Amino acid sequence: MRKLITIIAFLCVGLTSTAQEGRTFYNSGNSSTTKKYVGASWLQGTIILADGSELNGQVRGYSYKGNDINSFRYRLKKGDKARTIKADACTLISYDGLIILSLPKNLKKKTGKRKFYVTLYYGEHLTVFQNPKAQISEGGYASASGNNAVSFNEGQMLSFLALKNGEISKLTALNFRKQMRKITSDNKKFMERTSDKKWFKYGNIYKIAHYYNQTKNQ
Amino acid sequence: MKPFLFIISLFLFFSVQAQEKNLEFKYVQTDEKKAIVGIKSVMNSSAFVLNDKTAAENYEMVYGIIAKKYDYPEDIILSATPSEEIVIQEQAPGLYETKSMGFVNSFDMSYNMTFLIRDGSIECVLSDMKLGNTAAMTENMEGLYLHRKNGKPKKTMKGITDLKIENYFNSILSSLKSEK
Repeated sequence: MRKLITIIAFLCVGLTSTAQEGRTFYNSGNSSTTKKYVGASWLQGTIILADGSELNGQVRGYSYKGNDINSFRYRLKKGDKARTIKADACTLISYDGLIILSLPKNLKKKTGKRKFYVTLYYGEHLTVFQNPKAQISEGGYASASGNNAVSFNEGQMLSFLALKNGEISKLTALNFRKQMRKITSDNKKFMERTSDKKWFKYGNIYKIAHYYNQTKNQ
Repeated sequence: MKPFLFIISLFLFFSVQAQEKNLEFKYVQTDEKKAIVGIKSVMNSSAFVLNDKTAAENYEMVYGIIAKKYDYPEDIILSATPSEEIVIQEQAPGLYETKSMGFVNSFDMSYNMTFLIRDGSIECVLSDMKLGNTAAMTENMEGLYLHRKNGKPKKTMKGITDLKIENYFNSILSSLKSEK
């Protein structure tokens, strides 16, 4: 009888082990440098609380200040009572293909009140996120006829913030190469590729951050 | 009696595992119907390549195929654990194609593929299929509506959209099978 129980236990372990998965947050692949907004529709999402525990269920943006998100609502499923999650209570939210981080409101201080920042790219070593104070390119120039005939990079955010080793640096469209080289100089393989100017440019910031993360330990 | 029970248990265990193994990607019609768009078809999310290589050899083979295709394989690799798995995020230009009134419409697709590597097999798991333009992949693609609500196939999609996507992903399996 004991052997039979052992066999059944072995079978259970074998079957369940194939169903278990580790939790990794991958970026959506949306490399556009236009501003990304948090929506207010109930969608499947994940919230990592400040104590490291995980909430999986339906999530939506809840209160906004201008276009910036102040808090999220979470419920397990439709019909359940929703609870409000503020930036102080969590570290990361995955919602609608976006990864939203909770970081200090005053980025120069590591403590104090926190707020949400939408990431452009979330990585193990280097994370790039939206600068709430960034200007947005309106594009266009006045042609001889007075019409805005041509537009360049319309809607592009003109600066992002980079988080590396707990330090935050500003990356601007105007001075991108110099600023990026300064914070990534510890990666030799990455630095070799920065000589490719067609690749190493502001509009490619998502892919540049990804390449840095992938080659950091090589 | 006891050896008999043991053999039956082992047989059940392996048969359950074997039933899950698809060797190709294929769209299958579901029961899910939606007004206007029709009946949903979904593709199996995973397919296996079986061989007689060790996990380490299979890892080298998958990495080698990616490195052949890209000058910088790190651009598409999301994570890599030697002898265990490689996760890639790739974009396929014009993969979603429909034909209507003689005109061809095509959209780019992005997807994540996880190569789960073991001794004697590589499991290719497809996830996060999205539709959009190359920079901004925004629309989730959970399935294709290849049939009308009355069950008739849509001429603009059936045999065109599904076949192109199936062939694309099956070609990845073929390249893994043919690699020595």
